[in-house]
Amino acid sequence: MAVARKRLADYGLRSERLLWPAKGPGVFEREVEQLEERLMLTTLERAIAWAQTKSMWPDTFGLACCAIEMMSIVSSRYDIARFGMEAFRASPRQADLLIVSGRVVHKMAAPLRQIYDQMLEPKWVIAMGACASSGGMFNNYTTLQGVDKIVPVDIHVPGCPPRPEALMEGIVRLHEKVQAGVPPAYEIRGVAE
Amino acid sequence: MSYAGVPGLVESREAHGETTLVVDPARLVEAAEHLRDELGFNFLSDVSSVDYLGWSDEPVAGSWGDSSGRDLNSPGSWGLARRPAPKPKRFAVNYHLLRLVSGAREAPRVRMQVWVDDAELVPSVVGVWPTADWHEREVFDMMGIRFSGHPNLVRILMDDDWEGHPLRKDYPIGGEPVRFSGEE
Repeated sequence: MAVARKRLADYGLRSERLLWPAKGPGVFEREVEQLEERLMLTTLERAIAWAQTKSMWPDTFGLACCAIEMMSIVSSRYDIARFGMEAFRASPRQADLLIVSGRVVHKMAAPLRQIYDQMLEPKWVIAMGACASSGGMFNNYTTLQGVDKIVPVDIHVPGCPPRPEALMEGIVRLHEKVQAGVPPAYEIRGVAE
Repeated sequence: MSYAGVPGLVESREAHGETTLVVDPARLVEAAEHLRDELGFNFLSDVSSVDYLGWSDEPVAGSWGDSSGRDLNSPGSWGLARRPAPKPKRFAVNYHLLRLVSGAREAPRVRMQVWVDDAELVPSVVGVWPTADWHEREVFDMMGIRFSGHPNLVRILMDDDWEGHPLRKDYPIGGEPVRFSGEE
């Protein structure tokens, strides 16, 4: 599917997000507000995007050591329930977010793609860690060199494995993308046949 | 322990306190039954295989060296002055055997070895040690060595429609087709 590629800057996002809670609205938030005024987003779309980010349920799909970090974000220390995401669904039909947590071997590509295809739209994908993003150190005949070859990826989280904070940073950035009106990756890049 | 009575014994080697019995592939099952029944090796701990493709051929420059380094200019001339001894055939299949006896303080270990070329058959020892079933499937999957008389010689690790055997020395590195990516 040939889709015109747009960068984030084309949607009006020009700055990095600033994590400075006492500072008030950050540069990013102000830009989002200006963007909304410029694009005249309706209140309904904004409300839908808000609702999507507050109950973005991940799929239970642990692949490798990154899955240990993914599991720990549910624990009380990191507490992903703050974002309404503590409900890891065992069925892809009830999940909105696929966290590819680890290396994907060629034999696992078919189940991964099947799970992605079974998820209902809108759906998002986080490639967690070096292996899911680029194959990592497994540069051999078994391993897929980057999961973005078979599914469109919204957020790449670097690390080997990423700390739970890093994964949550990726999740927060995904929420910001959704609230800013950036469409999911399958609309931007298309899905490989 | 005397291994002189093993049927089809070609050579018996001793290195580092470990014994290797090179066996004629045609009499492999006889030798296995002898080792199990007469000598008490009742446990097959592993079946492994080695690809010696290009062994003892003219080496590429710098592929041999010693503690002073490698000569990158002339083929194999610096360091080791001799090539490794050629192997009888391309593949070696090794059967690692243990004798487990209740109450014994140690388990004697022996390695049974057969040599085959590409497309030669090795008799299956599933009838002797049933655990050889999956071990031989793995050897077939990774090395492409076929076992005659195996009940279900199909791939065990790789995909069913995988082409080639990835641990062979002549298997290409990289460039595997990716499904669902439009590259296939």
